[in-house]
Amino acid sequence: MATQQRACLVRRLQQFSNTARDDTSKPEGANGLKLRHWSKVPFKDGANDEEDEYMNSQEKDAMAQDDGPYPFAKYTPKVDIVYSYTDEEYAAHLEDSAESGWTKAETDYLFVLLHEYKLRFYIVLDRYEYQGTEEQPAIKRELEDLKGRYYSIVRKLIRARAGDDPEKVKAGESLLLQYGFDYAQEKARRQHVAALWDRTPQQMAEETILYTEILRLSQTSTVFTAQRNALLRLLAGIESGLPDIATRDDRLTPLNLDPQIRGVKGGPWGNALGGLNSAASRKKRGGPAGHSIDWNDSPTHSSMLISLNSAGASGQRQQLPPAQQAEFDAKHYIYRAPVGSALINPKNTHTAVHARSSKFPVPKPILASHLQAAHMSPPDGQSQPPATIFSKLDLYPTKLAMPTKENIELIERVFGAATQLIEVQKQLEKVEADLAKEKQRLGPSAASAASNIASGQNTVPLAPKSITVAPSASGTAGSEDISMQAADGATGERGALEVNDTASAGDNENDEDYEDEGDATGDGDGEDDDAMEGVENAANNASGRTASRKRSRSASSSE
Amino acid sequence: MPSNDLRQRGVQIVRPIIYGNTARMLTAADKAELKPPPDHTHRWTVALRSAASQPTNGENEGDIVGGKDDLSYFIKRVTFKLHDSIPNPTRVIDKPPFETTATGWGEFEIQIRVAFTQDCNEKPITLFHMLKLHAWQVVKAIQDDPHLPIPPPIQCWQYDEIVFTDPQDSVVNNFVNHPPTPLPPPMPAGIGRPIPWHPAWPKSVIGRWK
Repeated sequence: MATQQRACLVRRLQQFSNTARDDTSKPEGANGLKLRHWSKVPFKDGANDEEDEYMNSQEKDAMAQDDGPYPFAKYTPKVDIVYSYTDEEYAAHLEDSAESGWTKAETDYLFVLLHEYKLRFYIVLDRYEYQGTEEQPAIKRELEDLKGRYYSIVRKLIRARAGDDPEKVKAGESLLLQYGFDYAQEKARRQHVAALWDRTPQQMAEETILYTEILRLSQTSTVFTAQRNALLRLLAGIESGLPDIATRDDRLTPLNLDPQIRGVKGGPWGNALGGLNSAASRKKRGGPAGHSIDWNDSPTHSSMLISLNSAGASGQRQQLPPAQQAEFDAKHYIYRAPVGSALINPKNTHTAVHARSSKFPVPKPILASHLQAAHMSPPDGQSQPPATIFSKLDLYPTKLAMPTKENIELIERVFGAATQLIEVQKQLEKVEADLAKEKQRLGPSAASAASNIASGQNTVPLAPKSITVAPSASGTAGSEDISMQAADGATGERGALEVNDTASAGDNENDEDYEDEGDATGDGDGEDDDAMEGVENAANNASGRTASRKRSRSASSSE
Repeated sequence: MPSNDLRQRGVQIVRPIIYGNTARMLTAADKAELKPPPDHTHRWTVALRSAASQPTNGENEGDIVGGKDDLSYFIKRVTFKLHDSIPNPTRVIDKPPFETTATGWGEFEIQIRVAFTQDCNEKPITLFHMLKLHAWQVVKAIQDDPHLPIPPPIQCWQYDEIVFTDPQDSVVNNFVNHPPTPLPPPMPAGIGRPIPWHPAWPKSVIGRWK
């Protein structure tokens, strides 16, 4: 079968036509071509063995036969629109500016080449050998120079030929768009492509490694910071303060990554990450199970991320500089808790909306009697109630006229100072009672002896006279002074207690320390020194200062 | 809760409001118009308003305290629960101005329940206001003297701030679109409006009637 088939098909030289070539139309003698090719034709005469003879006869036949049009001719692009210009047009519109140095001769040369090579600029550039003249030597042209010159001429011609005819102008508009050419951009683009092309295999391998490294780092860092933050909140109830953590629960979403990285990688990788993280955040927030938004593709989500740090009016606001941010917040009554503040609820529970006045501080029970008296006192002050800390301050702190955040904080501080003041007062009373008892037990002579010993040891003396208590603690007049100064917040020690300035006891840091020592005074008889230290520390604590004991003594006496 | 509307953690957004009442003695015209029970002495209005007031133009100072901004962008409804002896004691106000007017003779505590719009996603809060009808310094003898002019209306207002903690993005955007009018700086005594009486500062009364 095969042999029979081979015998039936032979190749024969045949003439054909190619519409893609324009050089075949001329007759053969005038530089025209006759096109022939070998084509398979069925072998007609199977009994002929004399090939040479056969071929000779067939060649003669081939000249006469035509194989028809060349089948691939249709794929040759037909570029008919190579613009050309007349001399008048060139003189009127196309004279080039001096800097790029296009003369008419060179432009003509360019257009000849363009016509010849059908706008194939790379070939034109390859064949471009303009010699120039003596006055104007040839300039080395690059691809963009040629393109730029051609397209600028085309645009000028379109404009010039359109004239004032509105229809032509309208048609020219779209043509102008087609023939736009940005010299700088094209040049940069070609250089960029060339740079990409010129990379060595080593460089390409290095780039790949670096890219995967970036991906890995960004992934692990977000996971790491999120875990660390969660751990810190769990253990210490504080925010870690790492700068790149979004203050949201969806920290893990790849939106935090560099968008370029995501864009480059794209595809299934990004989708997989997005799906994973949206699932994770959904689980975390306990959202509805049916919710299946791909965070990567959700436009609302990205706009929310933008408005994360500064709530934008349209959701598109960018991060403001701190000063403007503060101004913006003040204008809109927005308060942002600093990182690590107690306001950031560590348990993820929601603080419901409330009136600011409901956050009025609850005073300690020790203050209650003072507050009650303050509340009861009539405003005109006709019947004088027992003066309290607050009445002396002209302060009736059961309600605030302006319960702003700052005022709530202030009243908290006042309550704190008043509480400490009352505690110090009580300590003082105890110590005084102890001293009186001791004095009674020892008698006057023993007391003075003890005083001498005490001063000789350069410690706190036991004698009551050497302890200058500015107001008597139980008297109402005294407590007025106390309250005034305590409310000042800074100079509580003046009214509170005067102790010899030689005391060298270390300052205790917290309230419990002096309370313990204060209790000790009640028990023992011989522990006055300790008690004094305790009281003094209490005074220091109340004032928040340790320095100005000497000064305070004179100040209190002058009052 | 819309799942894509997350809460902004660590953020508080605040809106200043005032609530309280005005009250004035019933005039003959009021009595003819309203026909209150014979023992009623005062006509009063209890209201919840934005803290900033309309700019005063010198005259007509008095009745309108606060209320410059429209609060309906975050308050859906205000319910005033009045004393049971008043007809229709639960007054539901759905749109601004959030206020209601009645006549009476006695002071009592009014419960003001503020419901927020749906998108705030917050529960209602309750405020209490002690209705104030009588001036503090005027003794009865003066009040009854027909030769004296009718005392000016009582103003009794409490400033407060409604604090939204961890608001949602949509809430923040909504609020930012409605910035409250800034409050005027505090003025020295004697300039501008008289300082309203407040139990936190009883001296605010003194000087008003001097």
